[in-house]
Amino acid sequence: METQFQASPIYSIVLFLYFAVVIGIGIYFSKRVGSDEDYYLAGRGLNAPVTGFSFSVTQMSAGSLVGMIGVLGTIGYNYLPVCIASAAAPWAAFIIIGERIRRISEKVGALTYGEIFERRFGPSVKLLYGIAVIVFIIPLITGQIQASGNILQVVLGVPYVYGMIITTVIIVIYVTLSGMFGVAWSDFIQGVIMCVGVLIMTPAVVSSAGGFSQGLVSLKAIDPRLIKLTGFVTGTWVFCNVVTWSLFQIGGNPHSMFRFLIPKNMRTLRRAMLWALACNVIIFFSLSFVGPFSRVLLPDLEKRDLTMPILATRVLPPFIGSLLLSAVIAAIMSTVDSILLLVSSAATRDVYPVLSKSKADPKKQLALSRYVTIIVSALGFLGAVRPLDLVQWLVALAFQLLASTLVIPIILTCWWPRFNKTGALAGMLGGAITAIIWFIVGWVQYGSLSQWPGGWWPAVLGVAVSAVFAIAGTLLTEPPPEKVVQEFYS
Amino acid sequence: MQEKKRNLVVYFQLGFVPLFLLFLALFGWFEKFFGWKDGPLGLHYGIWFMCYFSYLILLISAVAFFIVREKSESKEG
Repeated sequence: METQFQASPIYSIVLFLYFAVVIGIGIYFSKRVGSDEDYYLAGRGLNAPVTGFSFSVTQMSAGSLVGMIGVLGTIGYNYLPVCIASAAAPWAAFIIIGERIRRISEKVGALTYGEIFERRFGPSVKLLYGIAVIVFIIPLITGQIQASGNILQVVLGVPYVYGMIITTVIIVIYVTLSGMFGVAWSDFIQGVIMCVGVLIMTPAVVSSAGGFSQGLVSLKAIDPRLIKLTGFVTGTWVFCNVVTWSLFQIGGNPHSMFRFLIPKNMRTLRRAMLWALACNVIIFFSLSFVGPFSRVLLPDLEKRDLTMPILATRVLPPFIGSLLLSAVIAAIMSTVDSILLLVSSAATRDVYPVLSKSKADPKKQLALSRYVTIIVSALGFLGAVRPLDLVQWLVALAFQLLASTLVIPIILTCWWPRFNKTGALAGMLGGAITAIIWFIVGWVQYGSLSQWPGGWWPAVLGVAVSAVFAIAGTLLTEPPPEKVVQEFYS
Repeated sequence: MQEKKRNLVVYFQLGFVPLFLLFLALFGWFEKFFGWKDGPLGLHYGIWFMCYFSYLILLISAVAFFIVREKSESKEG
């Protein structure tokens, strides 16, 4: 099969139609944003399918539709545990913290995780949370914008920087105009496109590979390790991957976890999470076929990140193929828009009030939120202007640092009445510092940000140390005031 | 009692994660020390499990959780 991407006018037309729809959503919902609660939580009035799809596609990024297929093509079924872990992520997060955090946020009247921390532990923990989110998450935006530049360069044939400008400007328009309304509804449409795209692509790819049985025979002929669970990777690698991309989404993907606070009641949240799980299962189940079988169809492809665009144009009719290419851009945009909202909320509701020791009036707060959205997207864009190989590792670094800092404090806030301010601060700092040290150790030993002694990922160690510090810090100091415990757990 | 039932469902769900990791470890261990017989269509049994049954288990477990929760809430009014 031809391994070069052939641009076609139909791809450009469908992509620009998609962009027009997304901007239209932003304009349509702009009138409904009257307060920062509307801007961040869509007035807590979104229905279950929209919230669920929004959760799901926010969790998926360029890494899922582009990177994961590439890795599945490279190491075959060895990467399958990561697919199922990613599929299970929304449900695992929901079971562990979803219902509790939702109930707590309603009880204490909090709109963000930072505000929940403030009610429970005071402003210092909220400030630390806000700073961690802002500092650690910006590389994630940079990585996504860079990926959008690369993809539009290939698909539309425009220069890399123009591709990034197109994506960034469109995201900024609909996010600043309509906040969470626009983000969630565009996520919903993006999720539908992604599900339909992969559902059509999967049988087409399997059929092009000669059918399921013949495809496996061909894979085995290329390399027998491709159809084993291990062979290219170690057990430690599988364990770290599975735990990180499933359980650690709780802290590593705070922009997805934000969705637990949106639905109007618990029943809607529960239904939303079933929609999220269904969307995840459809996409990752499909990728479990498309990824390995892409190796049969494109055995000599050097840049495996181009697998999805090339397959979309080779095995699908042009219109469907172009929809799928739009889905790749959709995956990027759905992640960036949610990160922008999260950082904006962290800056205006968590960091600014503590540092300025005052609270802006609602109109000023809303205007401030929009300015921060524009500034953060500009920072993400500037970081991506000069493409560096380092950026993809910065993305993994950002996720792992966030996970190390936030997973344990969020879980214990939900489940442990004894958990106190000292424990929360010790858990956050202990996790973050451990992960940073482990990254440095890996860098010194291997000269790489993706290799570590013994193969143990920084997030795994960071979360373990965070748990020890949080529990020890709590038990060695006074319990929290009874009034606070009652407020959270009564 | 209802609260206890609700918690049981949560614990069952939480149990899914370590169970899944245990399955992974077992399959990895069998493969390493005993070698595997190929399953249907030449694909290892572990892959069949990962490919199909784990997605299925996940969906069934989620739907079961949803139904139990909805029922217990409607009983409580």
